[in-house]
Amino acid sequence: MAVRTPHFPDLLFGSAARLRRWEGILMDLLTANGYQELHPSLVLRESVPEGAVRFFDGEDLVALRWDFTMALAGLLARSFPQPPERVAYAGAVFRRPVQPWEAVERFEVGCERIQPEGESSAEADVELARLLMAIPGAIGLKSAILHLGNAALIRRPLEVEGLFGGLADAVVAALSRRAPHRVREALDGHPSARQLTAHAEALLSELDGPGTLAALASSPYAGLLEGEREHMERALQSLLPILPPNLELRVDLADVAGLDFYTGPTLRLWAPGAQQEVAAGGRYDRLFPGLGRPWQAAGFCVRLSRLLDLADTRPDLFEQPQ
Amino acid sequence: MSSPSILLIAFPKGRLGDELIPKLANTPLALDPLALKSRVLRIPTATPGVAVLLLKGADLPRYVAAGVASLGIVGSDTLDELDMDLLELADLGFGACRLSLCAQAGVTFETLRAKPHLRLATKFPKATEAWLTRMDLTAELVPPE
Repeated sequence: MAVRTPHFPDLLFGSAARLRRWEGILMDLLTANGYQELHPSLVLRESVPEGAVRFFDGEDLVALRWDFTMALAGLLARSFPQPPERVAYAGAVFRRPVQPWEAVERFEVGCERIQPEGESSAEADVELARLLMAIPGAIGLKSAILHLGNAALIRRPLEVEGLFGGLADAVVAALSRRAPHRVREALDGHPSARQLTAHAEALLSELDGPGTLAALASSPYAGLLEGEREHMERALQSLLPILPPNLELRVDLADVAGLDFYTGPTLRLWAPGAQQEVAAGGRYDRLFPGLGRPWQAAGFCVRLSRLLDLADTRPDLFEQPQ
Repeated sequence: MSSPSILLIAFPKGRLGDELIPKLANTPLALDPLALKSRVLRIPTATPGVAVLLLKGADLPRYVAAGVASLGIVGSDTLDELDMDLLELADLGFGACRLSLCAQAGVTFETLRAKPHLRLATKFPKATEAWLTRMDLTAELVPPE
């Protein structure tokens, strides 16, 4: 009989102990920074999203918790007239895998910073980046790369040009591949093709180099995106002096991961040499207004399942615990 | 995971591979002809420390996304069909292909438009869906088993 362990991971002694230890370390780190734990129910009874693991409880179709951010948003919108500023979570989510090697059950630890609409969000974004910067050292990952991006750099020009649906998706897919020639192909014949292709070339012209942010100046949308550029520059000025020695900070202007969800700054943490994103997050200011709450929010999630896989397959990437 | 001391590149089998491998003769990525005829998994190249995996086109992006190979060469149609976090470093300018719509002899486009229900078998659901949208047609897509 075939055993498909990656889909439904059973954690043996070493991995189980590592999961327990990492969850503890990360939740202690978040608590020390003022984040309070919330634990939304494992079973969703309201809306059952696509991609969730679903089953019948009697006559009711229910689903297992498939995402902490969405589950927490429902809980917060229902339970609090004013948002708690900082919340944290730890546990498992269950999702039908997109790739055959992905597990259905995934372990995560994460946090969210929530504010009423209209408050300045710059400090909250930097606070989350600083927390994420502390995570590789906390769990013994010898080195990591933190990518700073901003979903608005792509969202806003597309919105200004009235580009939605399949064409916008094609542009985003081309940008995700870092392929400006595909952006040109996708927009062939569109009235905004020249401006948007020039913008894509500006976003992709200085990948990870010292002039990455300056490259925005050559975009036809430089004026439109001046606020975003200033925000990223200020974040870099705050973060670079406190960069731990094991962490590399890079600016990724063309980060389009989760573009349908994120509205502003994005964060992605990578383990070098492993081609694995081990944490991701960003600002998603449209989530709570969609639930009837005038709040803005940002957060990140550490993908402990990927880190556990890495610890098994690439133990050389981790410090050995004392 | 690939060994850190070997750079593994995934090459496509089939028509694209047949076109690619002769292009690489006498270059640093030329494949060892003896290994190519054998059943070895990793085919050495003319550059020490660089080896090649020969894979089916549809499998190739998965190997790169999973970190088994560090990079690969594949048709853009294959990449278009897969939702994977991969970078397209360069368009190598060969391997052009054409996606064709097949029907029984005598069937015209107007005949298809007049049918209340169309079933279309395809290995390229995303490209087909985009074409159907452009043509303002609705069809049930049947992926091959």
